Amino acid sequence: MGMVGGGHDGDVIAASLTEPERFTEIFERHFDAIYAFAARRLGREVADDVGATVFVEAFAARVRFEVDRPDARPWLYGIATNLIRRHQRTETRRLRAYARADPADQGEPVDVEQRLDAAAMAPRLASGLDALEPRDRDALLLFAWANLSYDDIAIATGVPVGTVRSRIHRARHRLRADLGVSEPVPTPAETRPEGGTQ
Amino acid sequence: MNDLDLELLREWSARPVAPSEEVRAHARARLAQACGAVPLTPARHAHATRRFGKRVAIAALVAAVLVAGALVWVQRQVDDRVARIKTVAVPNGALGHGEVGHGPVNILLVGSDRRDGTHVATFGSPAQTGPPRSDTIILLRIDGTKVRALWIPRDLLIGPAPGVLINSTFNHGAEGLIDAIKSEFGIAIDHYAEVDFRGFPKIVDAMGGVALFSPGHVRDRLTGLELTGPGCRTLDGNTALAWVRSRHLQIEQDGVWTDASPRADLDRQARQQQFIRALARRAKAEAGDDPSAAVRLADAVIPALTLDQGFSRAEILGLVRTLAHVDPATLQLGTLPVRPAPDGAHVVLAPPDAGAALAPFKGESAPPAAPGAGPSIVPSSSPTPDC
Repeated sequence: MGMVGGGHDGDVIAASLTEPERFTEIFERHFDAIYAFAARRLGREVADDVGATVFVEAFAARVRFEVDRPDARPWLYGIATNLIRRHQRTETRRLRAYARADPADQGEPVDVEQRLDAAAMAPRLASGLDALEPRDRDALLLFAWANLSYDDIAIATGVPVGTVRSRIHRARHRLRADLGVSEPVPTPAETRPEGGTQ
Repeated sequence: MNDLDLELLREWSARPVAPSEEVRAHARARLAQACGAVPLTPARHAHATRRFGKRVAIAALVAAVLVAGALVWVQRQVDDRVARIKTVAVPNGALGHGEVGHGPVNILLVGSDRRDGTHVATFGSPAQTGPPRSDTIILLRIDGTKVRALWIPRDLLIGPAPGVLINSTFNHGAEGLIDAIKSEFGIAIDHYAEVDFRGFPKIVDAMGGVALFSPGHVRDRLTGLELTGPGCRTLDGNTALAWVRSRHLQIEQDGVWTDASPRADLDRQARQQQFIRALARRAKAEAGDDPSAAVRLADAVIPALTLDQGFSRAEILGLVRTLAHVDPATLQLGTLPVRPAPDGAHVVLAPPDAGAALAPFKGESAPPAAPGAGPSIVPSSSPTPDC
């Protein structure tokens, strides 16, 4: 969905304080991305509900949005992350189902060829994600899947950026051990994720 | 290979996951239903401008520091850090024997922004250090889970007419002020604490800022404060301090700057209470969530505090436990009711409201306010939204 109406997200949300229907512009701008994030973590069925609920909750809480911010995504992903937490059992079930896809693969050393094959690594990845502390997993997936910067993740999760950094570092350290990667987690030179999937 | 974990994660999620048009339409309909809600309009009603806003602000800051500090201490590394709190000797006899955790306790809080970096222990020798600065005098009463704070105006005249400034009793050390409070108000002080406001911005910054509701485009030309709005803003330490200390806040309406004080949602007291709650909530979220945040906060709070030597470890920990369980919304914050003194420059007690405000500190229940009299304790409810 392209831009609808004028102004950055903060302007639109500020306007929606007195003209509630303006908030639908925020929906048109960001629904697909929020939906995709929820669907990756919880599956489409649950994401149908979670995706819609994010915007209903965001609307109700729009007075708390800091309208200086041009981008509502960190805030919306924060709401999504909270809602996803309520479905943690769904996420756990999903990850464990992926992890069981190839039980023989667990814990075995992997060669470089295999490492580059995401499909082959999916079971390890899934069990690795499953083993993470929920807070660490949230931060890592906001970084890797939602493509948020550390600063944005700090806004989304309401903690200082230093905390975000340590959570992601801890998550990656743990995940790399599960993937059989021996090199330490590289120190990120910049806090903006590269590439991306969105 | 270095970012293998991230590469795999991204590849794993590379499959596009777009909602079907049906899902999108359903979600849109749910939002449209919610959007039928009434527009938000900021609460506003005429309100008399309160005097002494700056000092109330500082009182609020003290309460905030206590709450924030308490929430932190209750977390990790309590033992280690409590031992690092500075202490000051108060001569025997000045302080009562009330103990935190064993019945009600009155604590005298003095706030300062002293620039020499020395603490109260030097008060007895003003010749060496220059006159002490007590920007704020606050009575704090802890009774079970009830916490009450009362600001004492610094320019209050006490004693036989024409009276002396309460602040001047401090020139001879904390015990002078403690004695004056006992003889003037009949209130026995059990403990003494000093807070250095210069630590405030650091505390706020250690928490990653504090989110406050700005009611509009506001400014204070004296402090250089300027915020846009209406809406929530995350304020860093210095800005937050300017926000709660501002005495000349103006708001822009239709291109014209007007004094913001008459509006309830801009009232200083409301701003300060809003600030306390925001800070306390933030501290709770921070310290409860992340041990490293708790340590960072404790490191910002503790250097700003000085306690009397009689404050035992058990009492400090008891105080921490009490404050940590106080709902910031139930803090009773108020100012001692005063009226202008005959000299026009200072203030004197305004009975009967002053008596009512002081009564709880003597263990008496506050008598009902006289008809038509203003509240002696300003309610802590705020007309501004929380962020």
